[in-house]
Amino acid sequence: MRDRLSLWFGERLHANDVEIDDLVHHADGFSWQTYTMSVRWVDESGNKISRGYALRRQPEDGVLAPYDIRGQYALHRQLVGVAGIPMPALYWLELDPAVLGMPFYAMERIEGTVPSPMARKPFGDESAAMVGAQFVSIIAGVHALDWRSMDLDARTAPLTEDPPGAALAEVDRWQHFYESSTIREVPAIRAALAWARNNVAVSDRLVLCHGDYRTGNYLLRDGKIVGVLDWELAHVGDPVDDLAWAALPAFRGRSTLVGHMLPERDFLDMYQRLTGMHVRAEAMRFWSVINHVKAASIFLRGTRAFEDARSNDLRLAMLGHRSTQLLADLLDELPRVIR
Amino acid sequence: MMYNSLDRLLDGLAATLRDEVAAHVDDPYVRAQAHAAAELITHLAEHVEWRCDQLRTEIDAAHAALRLDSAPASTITDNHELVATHDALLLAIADAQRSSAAEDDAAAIDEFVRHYHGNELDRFTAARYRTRR
Repeated sequence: MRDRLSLWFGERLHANDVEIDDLVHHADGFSWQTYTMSVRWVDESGNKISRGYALRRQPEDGVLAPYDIRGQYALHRQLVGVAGIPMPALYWLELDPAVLGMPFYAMERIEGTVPSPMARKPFGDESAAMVGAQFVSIIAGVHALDWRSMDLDARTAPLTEDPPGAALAEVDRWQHFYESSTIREVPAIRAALAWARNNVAVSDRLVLCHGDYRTGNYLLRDGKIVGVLDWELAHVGDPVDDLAWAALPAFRGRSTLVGHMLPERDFLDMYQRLTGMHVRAEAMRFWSVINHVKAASIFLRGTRAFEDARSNDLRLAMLGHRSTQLLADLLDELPRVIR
Repeated sequence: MMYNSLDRLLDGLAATLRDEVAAHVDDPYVRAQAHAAAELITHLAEHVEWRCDQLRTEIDAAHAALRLDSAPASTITDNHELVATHDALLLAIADAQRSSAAEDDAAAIDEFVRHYHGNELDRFTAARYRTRR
């Protein structure tokens, strides 16, 4: 792999004798695969250059298959350089699977760490609030983008511009995802879907949603968010969808704070101040229910891949087991008798 | 009941220990431990099945929630049949959840759902504490 990458970078950088160091395969996700490395070469003027790169490789079969790398690349390209939304610079898209076995794209390697939502205390008390304020500011910036003027693929663009209709389309999407993933029926998910169809509560606008905005999906350096990662679930939808996802208990560990950062009230107040939008409690509840279904269904998709022997990765089997807590949290959100 | 089938879970555990872990371990003692664990799990697969008492409890609860006048689960002795009956009843519960049931029926289904997932959570929590002992 190192040799193939060396040749590949050599062609792109117009350089011979490209050396690849510090090659790391980051194996913490269940979908897109990330490799980081240092690339060293000598340019045409004889200058020695070293630069960090990250490659984002499409998986053969991940929990969110099928994939559209062109759409991901195009979205990333449009986000680079937008003020207030830290994104790694983007370099090249490679569709030929000969290099890494699957298509991938190359971007800047940003130095930093990814705080884990499962950590006991991923931030100090002071930095948690500061990171939280930036976390809110970034998502407010994403939601302020004029998505109608962007080039969005079919998966990201809305099916309808009517907010309740778009919300129901998300319910349909995750119901279909659940049904195509699960090995056996999960009563809590059926209860949630039935409740959601009768209790749609949305805000008055559609925005570009990140779709997986939470602690665990950004890079932190010196107490600042320096890169927002994992846009594969991006879609045009209700802004409260992103807020409720970030606030899920599953991403808090044992903390009471949203993503270990902010009390939920402060999190929502900050967002409302920045956007001028009122976040209705009913909408938070509706999207929290749908997002529990979404998270549990993604877990069940992993379990299905293991059951079908498409992978022996035990973490996929563990996901089904881990969905137990998510489903218990989901039932806490629902009224006693579903109507 | 965990979400994968027991056979697949045990096969996958053994395969990963053998092919992914042992194959990449240099220390001969640790490699031997991984191979031994894989072999034990493979043999264990011939001796274990999902717990019949838990399956029977859930089958009887589903019968009651669906108001089915079925024979008690205690009459089912084969484990594969218990698993199949259990999964078929979850499907029937899902059908009932999708239909607009009368209030009493909906309350009975809701009671089943909460008990079912409550039992799952109790077992999940017990296992976590066992892991930490």
